[in-house]
Amino acid sequence: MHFLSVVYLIWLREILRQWRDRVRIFASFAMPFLFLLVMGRGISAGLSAFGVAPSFDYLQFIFPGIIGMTVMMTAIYQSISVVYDREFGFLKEMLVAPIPRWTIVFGKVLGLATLGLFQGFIVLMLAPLAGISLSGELILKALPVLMLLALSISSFGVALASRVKTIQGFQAIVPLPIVLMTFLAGTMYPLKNLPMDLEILAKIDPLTYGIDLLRQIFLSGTMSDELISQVTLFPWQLDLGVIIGFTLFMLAFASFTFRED
Amino acid sequence: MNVIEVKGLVKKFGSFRAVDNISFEVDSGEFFGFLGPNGAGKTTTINILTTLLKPTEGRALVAGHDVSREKHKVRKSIGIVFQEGSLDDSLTAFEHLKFHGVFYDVPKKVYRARIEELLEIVGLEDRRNSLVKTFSGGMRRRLEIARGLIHRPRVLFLDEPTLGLDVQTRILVWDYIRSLGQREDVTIFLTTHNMEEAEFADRIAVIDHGNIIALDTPANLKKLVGKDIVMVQTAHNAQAKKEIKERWNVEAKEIDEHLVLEIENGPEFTPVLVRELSVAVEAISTRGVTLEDVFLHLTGRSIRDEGRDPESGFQRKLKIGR
Repeated sequence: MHFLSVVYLIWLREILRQWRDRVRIFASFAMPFLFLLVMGRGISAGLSAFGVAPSFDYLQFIFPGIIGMTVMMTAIYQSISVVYDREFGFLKEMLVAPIPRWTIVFGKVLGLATLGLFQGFIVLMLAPLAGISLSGELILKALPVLMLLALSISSFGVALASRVKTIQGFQAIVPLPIVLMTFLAGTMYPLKNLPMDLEILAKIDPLTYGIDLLRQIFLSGTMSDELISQVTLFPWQLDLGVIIGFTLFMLAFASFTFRED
Repeated sequence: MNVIEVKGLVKKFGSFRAVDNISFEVDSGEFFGFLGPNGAGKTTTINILTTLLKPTEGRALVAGHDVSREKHKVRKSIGIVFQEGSLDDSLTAFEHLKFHGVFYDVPKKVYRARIEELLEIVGLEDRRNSLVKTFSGGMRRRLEIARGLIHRPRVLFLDEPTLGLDVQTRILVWDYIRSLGQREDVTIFLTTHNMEEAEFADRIAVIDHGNIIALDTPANLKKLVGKDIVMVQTAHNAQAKKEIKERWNVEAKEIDEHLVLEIENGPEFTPVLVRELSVAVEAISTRGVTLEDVFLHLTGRSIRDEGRDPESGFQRKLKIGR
């Protein structure tokens, strides 16, 4: 019971922090709009100028990618809070408290994942703008996937942040995983006919499986099965299995980085 | 009964011995001061006693528990106010205290009552719901002190609690700390490089280069010097120093522009000195012994001479999983 209350408070602190910062709230609402309305529509229009317009609606294709990317980016960026806690000393307050280290990790990860999920949810609500109609079933299927994605990437972020000692250092390193994961995961293009090295990397990228699964969920109502199988990679069971496995692994890894000696 | 027992404690950072074989005991209810210049090993010792650092050698018991083997029990019995702040700007004063109560598994009813009590003691009752980012340095310190006491610790560790505060705030914070001992029935372990602060301790360990070079009550420590202090500034200090040595067999120490002498009866000696020195005396004063003089007596250096704190560099190395 005690440990649960501790996890809850550490979770709550992440939410309060976000909530009390007007700029962050504004940014968290603005970003998804930018991704969808600027990037999504921009690429969509640009493709037709080349005369290579795909046989399907590109905005629909890219929409699941944008959701996945939004969740991933939020979760990683927010994990800077671990570095802040170190810099401003609150981490010490937690480290000398008679609580196991995993409660700190779980509280943090859950907090960051909640923020990521919240962003993902905003984008989800924008689905009609991409020509995808929302149904209860679609939301129920998409939310757990977004949740897993948020949890795994937050764990990755916490593990990363626990190794980085300064805010500047974190800001310097964080674009690397973000860019790498985004472009390898087939966010903006189908992962077909890739050069060998990229294909291998894409299969290592956990976000690949998340977006693949999201794509199957979002497009099932709007595209033909044949078209879907052309733009997706794996059976949904495999996607789901990989994401669950990756989440568990990352949670364990993050807890490991916070262990007592 | 001893609430802290330290035996043969050593902490090395690479080849540097930050703490070099120290032993001491602190009695329950005592107000114990760790006095020394920056970099003497004070913060390293506190970090070991509060389970944040592992000792290289030796043993330390806090509230009867081994600091490296029974971390959890040690943590439950101590409160800490760190040298550098440890508050979250985006939380309120009340939230900090509540979080602490939950972290330390204090029942809700108990911590609620404690929060009211302690907010009043540190004079923050009307700021309970303000965000900490609106707090001054002194308010932050007082909040941290209150927080460290929520779970009724056996020992409260205060690492340079008045560092970086202006004089008025320093006095205010200091008054709180002094009254805590009686009000809260808690042992206070304090580090400082401020001599006036150390005066109020029941006993003081003087630490230098990782070693305890003296440990006693402030009054007894002053008896080590045992005399009055005469400070004299002359037109030619080197010459004066030589004459003082020849004439009265007293070793003068040169600090800044002054010669510092330890003399049995200062007020009677000063006119004699002025009369008999061959060089012109520009300024002279005499006073009773302070702890500053004790440190000078023991080490030959002034405590303020020391450069920046090399420990803060080591503190940065404190990472989560070592």
